[in-house]
Amino acid sequence: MAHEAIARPLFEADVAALTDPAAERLQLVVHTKQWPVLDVTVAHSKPLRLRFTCDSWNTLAPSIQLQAIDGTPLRALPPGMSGIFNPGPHPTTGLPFVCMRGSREYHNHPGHQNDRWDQYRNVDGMNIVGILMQLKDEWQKKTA
Amino acid sequence: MNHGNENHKPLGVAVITPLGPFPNDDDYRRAYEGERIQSVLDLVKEAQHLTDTSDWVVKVDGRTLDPNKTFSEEHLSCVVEIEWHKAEGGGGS
Repeated sequence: MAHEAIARPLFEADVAALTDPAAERLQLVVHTKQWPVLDVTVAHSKPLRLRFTCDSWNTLAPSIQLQAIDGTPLRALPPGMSGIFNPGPHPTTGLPFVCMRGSREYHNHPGHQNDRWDQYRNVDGMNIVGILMQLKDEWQKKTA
Repeated sequence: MNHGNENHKPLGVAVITPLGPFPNDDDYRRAYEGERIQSVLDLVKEAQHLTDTSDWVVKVDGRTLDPNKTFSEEHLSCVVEIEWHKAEGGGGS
């Protein structure tokens, strides 16, 4: 686990990219980006709220919870979801989860423990906002 | 139609990446309709010190663009807001 003294400045530097104008351009509503949580809603005909818990960033990938717009965890996904939006249940959380490199629930899933976060964590585009942009894009594509 | 003039029509381009908007929060970079999209992405890459964007995707309003085409060839004009980020990967648990 990364100490807060290390993780917090990295988190704050990452989420600083998500300025209000940037969020507006990306059609995102930012509820909070206060350490260690980035909480955003993908504004869409089928909105999705994503809560990134980034304690231990970037030693560990963020834990990402899929939520309804009121902030309650999703217990089921819309019909037809597959791929990175996995209906689960995840063996740790018991909930649907993000099955994509960059999500803690992916890397700690028994099916992906050989695909280690370490190999991605300093790659361009795999910062917190980069992971968010991938999820936003995929959600909008799947629910279009 | 004079395609030469069409190619010289200016447009304003913003590119939003995981490191934030280019050129900045509020402005647009001038480009031309006959210019390859990649030429603007190269500026972003330099400005944001990106090293490997080989598997990144270029999108406008959810539509994937070919960065080797011109703005005109991708039917883009006037004001364009591009999202540029790594392609999603994973799935299948």
